[in-house]
Amino acid sequence: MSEYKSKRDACRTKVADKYEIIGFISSGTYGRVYKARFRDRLREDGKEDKSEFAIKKFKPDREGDTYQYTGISQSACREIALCRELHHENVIGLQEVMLEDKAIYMIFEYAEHDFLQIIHHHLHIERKPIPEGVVKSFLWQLLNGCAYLHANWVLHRDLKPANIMVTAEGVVKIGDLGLARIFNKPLCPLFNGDKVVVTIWYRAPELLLGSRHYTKAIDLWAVGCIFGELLLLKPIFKGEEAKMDSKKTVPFQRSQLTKIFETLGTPTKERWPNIDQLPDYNHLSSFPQYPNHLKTLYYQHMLGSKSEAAFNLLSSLLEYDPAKRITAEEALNHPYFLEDPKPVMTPFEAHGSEYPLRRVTHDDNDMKSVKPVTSNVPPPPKEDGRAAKKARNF
Amino acid sequence: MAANFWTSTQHDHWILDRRQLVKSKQPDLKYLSPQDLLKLKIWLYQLIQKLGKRFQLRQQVVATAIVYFKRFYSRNSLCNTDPFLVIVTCVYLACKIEECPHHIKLISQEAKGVLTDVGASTYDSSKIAEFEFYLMEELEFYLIVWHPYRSLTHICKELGMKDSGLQFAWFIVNDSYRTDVCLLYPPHMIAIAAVYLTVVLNHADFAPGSQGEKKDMRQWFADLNVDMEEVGIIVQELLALYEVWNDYKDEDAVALWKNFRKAVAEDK
Repeated sequence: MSEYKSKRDACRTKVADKYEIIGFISSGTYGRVYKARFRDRLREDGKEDKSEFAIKKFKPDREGDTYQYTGISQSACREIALCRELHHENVIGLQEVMLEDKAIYMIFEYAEHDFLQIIHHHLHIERKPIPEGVVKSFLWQLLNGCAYLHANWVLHRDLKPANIMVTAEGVVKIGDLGLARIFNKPLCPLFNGDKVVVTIWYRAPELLLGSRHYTKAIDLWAVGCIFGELLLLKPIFKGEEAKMDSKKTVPFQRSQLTKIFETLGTPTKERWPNIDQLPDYNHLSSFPQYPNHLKTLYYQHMLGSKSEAAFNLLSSLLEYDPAKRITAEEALNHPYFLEDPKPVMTPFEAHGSEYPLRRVTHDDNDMKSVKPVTSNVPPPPKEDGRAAKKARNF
Repeated sequence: MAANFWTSTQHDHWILDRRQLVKSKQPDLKYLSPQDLLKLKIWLYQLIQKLGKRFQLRQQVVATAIVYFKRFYSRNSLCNTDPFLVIVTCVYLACKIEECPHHIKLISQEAKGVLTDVGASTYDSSKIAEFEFYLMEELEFYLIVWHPYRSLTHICKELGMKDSGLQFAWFIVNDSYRTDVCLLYPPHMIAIAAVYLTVVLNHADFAPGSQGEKKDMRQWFADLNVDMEEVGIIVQELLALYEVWNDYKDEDAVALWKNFRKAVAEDK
């Protein structure tokens, strides 16, 4: 096989020969992300190619001091396989995949902002709500990307503000498909082999009550939480995650359910007919009976001008019964989007929004460097520590 | 993509030209007749199937592994590569992509069981993992594969074909992976060819009152609005396969392989 390998090795383009690193963006358990542009930026028409990229480098596995081949992780495989197939304006585009020195590089289109950063900016810097037209355009585009994924039988499974990118023009790009799955083939049950995914604050009540089936409705619940967060500038259900105990049993997420029940009311069989089929239904009787406060939350605590249609869409997304929860396709046709201001693809221009550019650092522009992952994480810009917990994903 | 074959990477990048396939076989044909090359390939596909059986993989996962193997060899030749390492790696990758992953150490271990029988060398995890990079690159990172099984089930249901007929057609689809049709035609065309053969060979029974029973099948195929000439070519490929397969024996293939290896080694 050595002849074959050397032949292949000889014709492989090096990442650093094709791309020039502008700076280091973030790191996580999977590896590191860099901002980059083409090294050769002269286009055929003589103008400069200004394309920018986010290069996600999956760190190779190490045993002692040497890097080893240990097999490409399931999540990298998924992300590569899915991103290669998907092409949509509201889903982050994969430019190419490159392999070098036992490491995988995924080269994505670059997005200047993300929902988490924009929410933070409005809460702490501008101290005023995100303009209604921007919120509506964000939500519409997020649903549009979601509808595309769902029409293609792809579940995202980890929608949260940090995973929703936004370009400098305000175009929404759903990112981080490392947990996404194709659900057309009933292979092993979807739950199999995976821990329950989806960051706890965006986790749907049926999952919290022990459901083992991932459905499109689970992504739509997360969209509802994100919509709420865009209006409130903080997570609407900010529970404490119960950690896995030493016996590795999946813990019951009492705190997160309490947060949801306090706002939406404790669910009943009338509101959610099949709730008694869920594995953890028996826990339900131990909760107090809270009334539904969503209306109060929306009209008194959420920011910006009020709209009956907006409230209606929010409650349709945060519908307890997954069978009744609105689908992405239906949500796109919701009356809220017919009201002024109408959603647009590039809302920043229309609303004069300006946000600081994504922070990049320059002390680590060498993708080959073998520094310990933690030492170069830029200080979290947020007080709630979310960025510190998990760096931004592309 | 996943919902529409016509926008999939399989349609855009991995439906190949017949000339390309012929060309990729040239280096091996220096040492073997086309029929013997097919026998060798049949033997290698059986090995994939055997390895799959050890993990009780569903047929679709095995089919994905075979397609990866075929895509790899549409650009490479047996004489310049180690097909056993390719086999093991294809199975390992297909398991991950089809969402039934197995630990690489387990793959390496089970491969030992299957491959030492045929006198191949064994591969530790790092060898497989290293080759995974080359395989991914050769596949151009297009990893989602479409198979005829879903179309087949759909067609048979619409016709009201009884289970025995579906089973028969299903086996024909399984057999089709011993030919190159999965690299040349869309999966639904292969499914139609399998149904066609099932009907022509009188294995199709239809439920009372079903479409299949009421309609003249010749008319039904004509009404499908697909290129029946292409279906005919796929059927021909399958029949040609059965002809070679009829006098295929595993032992002969092992002998063929040894001679092939020897001839290649002497040449180098």
